[in-house]
Amino acid sequence: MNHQPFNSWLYEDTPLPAAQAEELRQHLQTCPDCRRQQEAWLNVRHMLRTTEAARPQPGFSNRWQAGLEARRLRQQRRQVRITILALAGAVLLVLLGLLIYFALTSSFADLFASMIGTSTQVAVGLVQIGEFFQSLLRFLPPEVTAAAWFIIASWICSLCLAWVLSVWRISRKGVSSHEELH
Amino acid sequence: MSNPETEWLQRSLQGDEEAFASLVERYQNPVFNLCYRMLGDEFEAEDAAQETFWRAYQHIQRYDPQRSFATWLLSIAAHYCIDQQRKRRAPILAIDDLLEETLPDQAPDPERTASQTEEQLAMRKLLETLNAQDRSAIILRYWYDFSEEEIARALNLSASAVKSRLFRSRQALARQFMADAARAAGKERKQDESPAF
Ligand SMILES: [Zn+2]
Repeated sequence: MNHQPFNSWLYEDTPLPAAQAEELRQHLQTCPDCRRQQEAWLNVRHMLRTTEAARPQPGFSNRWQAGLEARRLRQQRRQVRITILALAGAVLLVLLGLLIYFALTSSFADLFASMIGTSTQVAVGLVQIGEFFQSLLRFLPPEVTAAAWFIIASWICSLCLAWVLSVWRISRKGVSSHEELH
Repeated sequence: MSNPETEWLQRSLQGDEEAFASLVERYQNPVFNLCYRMLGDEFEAEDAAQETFWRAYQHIQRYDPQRSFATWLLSIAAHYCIDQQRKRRAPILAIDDLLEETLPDQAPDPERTASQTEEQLAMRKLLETLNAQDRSAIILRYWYDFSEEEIARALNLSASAVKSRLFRSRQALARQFMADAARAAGKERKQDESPAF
């Protein structure tokens, strides 16, 4: 027996035009196989529509609110961790790049010599700067010297404070609290 | 859409946590039911439902107020459950899990309700014959009265793909139903024939 298109109509699950519905009815009368399938599908559909909806245990929204805090904390920690890892990675890359650059462009003897040279230059430079300031101090009255020291010291202190504060803020709040989860 | 809900949504869009909690309260049942039908386990369904609301909360700015909030929420739940099923099949170690610390379990171990009625079990067995995406299409169609277009939008499928998935799933479900019925009939016959001790 040819079951098509009637068998397909069974599973379309859309209302058929009157003529087609009549054709289907006639086929079902003569075809026990399709009839059984139709009955099965109608049973399943009935089950789908009438099976009682499952409900969560009481207190679902309280658990949600408690979970929200924990999730936020976890997200912030993760952001901090990712930031630190990224920074460390960047520093490592730069160092590695420099190392490779020097290794490729010069021999180790040259490298050693230039290192010695550079550090001597830096040392000499520092000594010269020191001498300049010392000679400056000799000409200035003591009040100005004290004031200069005070200004320099307070600048260093406020820089340190700003640094500590920003580290503290990042570790508490994360980089941004509305970053997406991936 | 009723008035308090519109207000909750507006306030949620501005980051109001309490307003969002009201939405959780309102939609916990449909979301949980979808997750339960998809995953077939009460505990997994609880986790999935909580995760759904978390994702909705995080991405509330992406919600289009022209559309139904329920549809949007259920689509998030369906996607999440489909992903869970895929992960279940192929357990891979995600880098996220490595970075993540294990959180204490937040669910206050809901007693596993023994009220697994015959009806619920039969339903679960039937749905288990479908793959995750087909299952979600059937659930959205018959439990939540989604139109085929709504399903297509929710699952990121074309309308024709949804049509053919639903068609195939109806066939598979009917076949499974007939097989179950035949098995049950066979068992009964055997019980009738076996001598009583
Ligand atoms: Zn037939």
